[in-house]
Amino acid sequence: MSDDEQLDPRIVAALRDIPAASNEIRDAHIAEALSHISPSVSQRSPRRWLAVAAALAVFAGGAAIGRGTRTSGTEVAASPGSSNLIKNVTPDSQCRTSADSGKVGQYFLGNEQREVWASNGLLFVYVSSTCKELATFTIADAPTSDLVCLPSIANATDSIIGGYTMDNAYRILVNTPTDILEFSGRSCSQLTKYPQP
Amino acid sequence: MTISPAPDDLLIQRAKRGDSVATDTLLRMHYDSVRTVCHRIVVNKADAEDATQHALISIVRALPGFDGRSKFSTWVYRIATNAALDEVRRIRRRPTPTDIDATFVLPVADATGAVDAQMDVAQALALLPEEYRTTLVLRHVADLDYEEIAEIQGVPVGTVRSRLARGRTQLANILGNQDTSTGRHNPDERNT
Repeated sequence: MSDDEQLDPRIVAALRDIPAASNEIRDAHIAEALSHISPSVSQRSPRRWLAVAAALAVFAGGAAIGRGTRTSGTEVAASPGSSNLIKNVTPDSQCRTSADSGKVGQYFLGNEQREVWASNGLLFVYVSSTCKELATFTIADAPTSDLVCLPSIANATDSIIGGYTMDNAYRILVNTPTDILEFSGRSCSQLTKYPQP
Repeated sequence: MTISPAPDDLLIQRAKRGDSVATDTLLRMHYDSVRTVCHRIVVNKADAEDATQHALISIVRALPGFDGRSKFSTWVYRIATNAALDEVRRIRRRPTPTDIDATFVLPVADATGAVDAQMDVAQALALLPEEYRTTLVLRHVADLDYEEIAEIQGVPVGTVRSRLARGRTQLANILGNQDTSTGRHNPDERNT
């Protein structure tokens, strides 16, 4: 049943043409919505949930990697052609303030909250409370991929830190007790691992 | 560690379990759709942004109860529509008038000048009765079929048809009787 011919296509186009939201508005909207995820629906262990929630409450900062995200079928495209990182959106944590830095996310190791930033081809790990720099890693090369990668977390001690786009590749960092793992690509393969500082 | 790509169903299943990454991805996939519906129903820019925020929060809160009986996109549109209509009701209760200046000012359209300015369309849409505006938005902005619109609005399919016909006619009249239709007439138009 089609009746589209009864409305001028130019008017339909005008109806659909809404100025895009700024990245800041989009990220703020989504971050606020994510804060309403109920822990009761999570099947994760409480400790793991705490870590993931803390990390992903700021996911809009790092994982806003996916900002401007579009979907096509079952594929989710991340920001293409971008080596720019998303600016930090968490007002309580500013371990790096340079414009070319982006906060990937944060995680807990024991009782210590840490955060991971990316800038100019490097990953930086800080203690959130003091901004003490714990480690610097050179970001691994990755094949170009505009797909959002969602690694499955099998161990309760692991958690997703966040994601970012670098050199045309969307990447996800996963925290484990011994390493920080990086995943990317259509098959969500592990690119590398950085030793847990 | 088992690795897998992210098809929609997998994203939805993970989001239902409270997976923040999956939820984040789903919200980004549907963000523009939600926001467009909110802006076209609510009209006022600031209020529409509020409606968008409320819709996204509602989606997150309702996700665990999504049963898959309707398409996920239809389910999202239903929530967005309800959030937008709630916002419209809130606006009605406010003592201050709608800030017309805060509506989007869109650029002049195509080179043929056939549509003088998209602003005209936005304003014309805003002048329609709420039920007509909502129906037109769901049909022509959200691309939903009659059955889906009927499901969202809780009305029979015939009512959707008549609302669309009347909405189109009124939209054309507001736009100055521009050539917005093919000339086909719906009998319901006489009743408007």
